[in-house]
Amino acid sequence: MKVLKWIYAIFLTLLIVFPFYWVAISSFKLPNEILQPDLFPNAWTLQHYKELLVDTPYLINLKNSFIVSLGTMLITVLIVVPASYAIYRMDFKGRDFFYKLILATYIFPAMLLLVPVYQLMSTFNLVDSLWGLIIINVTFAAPFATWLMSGFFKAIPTALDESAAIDGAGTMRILFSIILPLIAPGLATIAIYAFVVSWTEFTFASILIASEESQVLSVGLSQIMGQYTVKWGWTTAGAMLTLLPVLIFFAFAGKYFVKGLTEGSVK
Amino acid sequence: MGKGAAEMGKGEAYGKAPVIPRPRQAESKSKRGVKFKHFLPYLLISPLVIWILLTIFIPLSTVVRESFYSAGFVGTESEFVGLQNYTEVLASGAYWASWKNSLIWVVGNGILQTVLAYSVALYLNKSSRISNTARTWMIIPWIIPTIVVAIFWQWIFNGSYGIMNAVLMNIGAIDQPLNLLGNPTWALPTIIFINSWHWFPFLTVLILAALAGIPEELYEASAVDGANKFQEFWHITLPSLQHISFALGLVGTLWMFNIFDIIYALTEGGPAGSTTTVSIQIYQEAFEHFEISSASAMSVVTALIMLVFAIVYIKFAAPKED
Repeated sequence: MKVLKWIYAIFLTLLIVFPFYWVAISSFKLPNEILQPDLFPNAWTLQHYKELLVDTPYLINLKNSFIVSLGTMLITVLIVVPASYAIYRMDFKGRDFFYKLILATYIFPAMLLLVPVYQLMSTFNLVDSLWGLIIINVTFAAPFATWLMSGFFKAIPTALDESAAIDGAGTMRILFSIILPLIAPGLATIAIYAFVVSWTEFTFASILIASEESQVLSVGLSQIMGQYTVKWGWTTAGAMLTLLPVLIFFAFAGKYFVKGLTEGSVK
Repeated sequence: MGKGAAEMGKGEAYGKAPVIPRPRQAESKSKRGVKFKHFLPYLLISPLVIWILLTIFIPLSTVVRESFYSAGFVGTESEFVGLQNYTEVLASGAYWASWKNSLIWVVGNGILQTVLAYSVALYLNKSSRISNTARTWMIIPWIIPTIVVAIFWQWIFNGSYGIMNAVLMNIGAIDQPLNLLGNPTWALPTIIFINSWHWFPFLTVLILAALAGIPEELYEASAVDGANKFQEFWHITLPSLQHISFALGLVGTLWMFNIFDIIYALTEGGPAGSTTTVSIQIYQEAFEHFEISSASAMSVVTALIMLVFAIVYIKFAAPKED
């Protein structure tokens, strides 16, 4: 029984880790060896990375992805925090309705919105613009972020705002000087969430952006994969470089993110 | 003030919202204060609500309108055709065939992800140093871009020189390399597996959160009563997870149903339409055949079916309050 448990644990670990290892290793293999199933390269090379950076629009895509992801992150935090403060800490008519309206966005398939959003964006001249992508990414990140915030707001005792109010602090001051510092982990969680949603988004990026100079990484990478299917060196190196920013980000903030996700979802 | 107190009861659904007493000495400012206070929550919530109305509800209304018109792509002339698009969609064999694929997709993902997520969660549900670190890093497959996931597995499963084929041929399990993604029978199950790999970590985090919420006393009490591990799992762990399972059954189904990118990146709906789910079908109708009206009608029919599913699911599967 115990042996079976160990075997299953090893199987699960391999299942998660092996694809990362295999693609990483492949990206360092020499072009004439990459198609051979050696578990370890005979010789290491950075050739694929160099070619990727020089011969493909990878760096432009990277820059665009950063702009879109940071923009989405910033706007999501800016509109979600006040809204969730109102929903979770204030009494007002229609609160229930607004809360449900925000969460109802999940019922509608994103696919439904593809055509009309394209039309909407083209009306406002936002097709092929990074702003168009930022706008729609915020739409997809914000409802779940609002939901995540609930756990963080509920963890703050209401007695705290009450005593501040008795001391004569205004609502806005309560929000900024008392609540904000306390929900800082929540802020970090939704910020990372918004960044990741935006960094990984593919569908809308593929129809809203047409020109190469506005293309983001996810779509750029799929084009590299599609156009040069033979070039597995570029494809695997591209995959690694696309992963890297997320991994670096995660190495610093991962612990808080997973903790925040856990806390936000139970309470 | 009376009104504020009356509304407090409603607020309890979200935890206690504070009723903030206004200090006496602010009497002179109080009129403006009352107005501002009344207005403030709407001010705080309005950016998000307006954002969502503009980017979801207005586009949705366009879809409904388009579905009654005949229109090609953006900028072409269109005329009112009544229910014609709908009768065509309802009679379309291709549309309903894509529903069959979508059902297999949703059920397959549901089962596989549940098995994987529960397995990992039960291993990691203790607070040792290793399991804490593993908890953080095992979520990585979920946060990486879908296209990277597609590349990972296409490289591993590749029909000519993938590592999986090399290993299987080495141990003598097969004589000929398998081209899983190019095979009409295997393509859909293969993508279900790949997508489950991508999504199960997220499910694991939520399950771990729910497991952490079970009071320790329950287990202690059952140990005193002499319950074995299996009884413990059946009578304590599973019932405690019913709320999260209910929520995931709904949200997860909707999420999985809507997935488009991984399928499109790996097979574009092929081979021979074997991986064409409803999402792929709508995309192809709109952006490959440029049949906007028909795609809109498909979207509306699909949304209505999903809505009925959500209502029925909530009515019959909601956990009973105890």
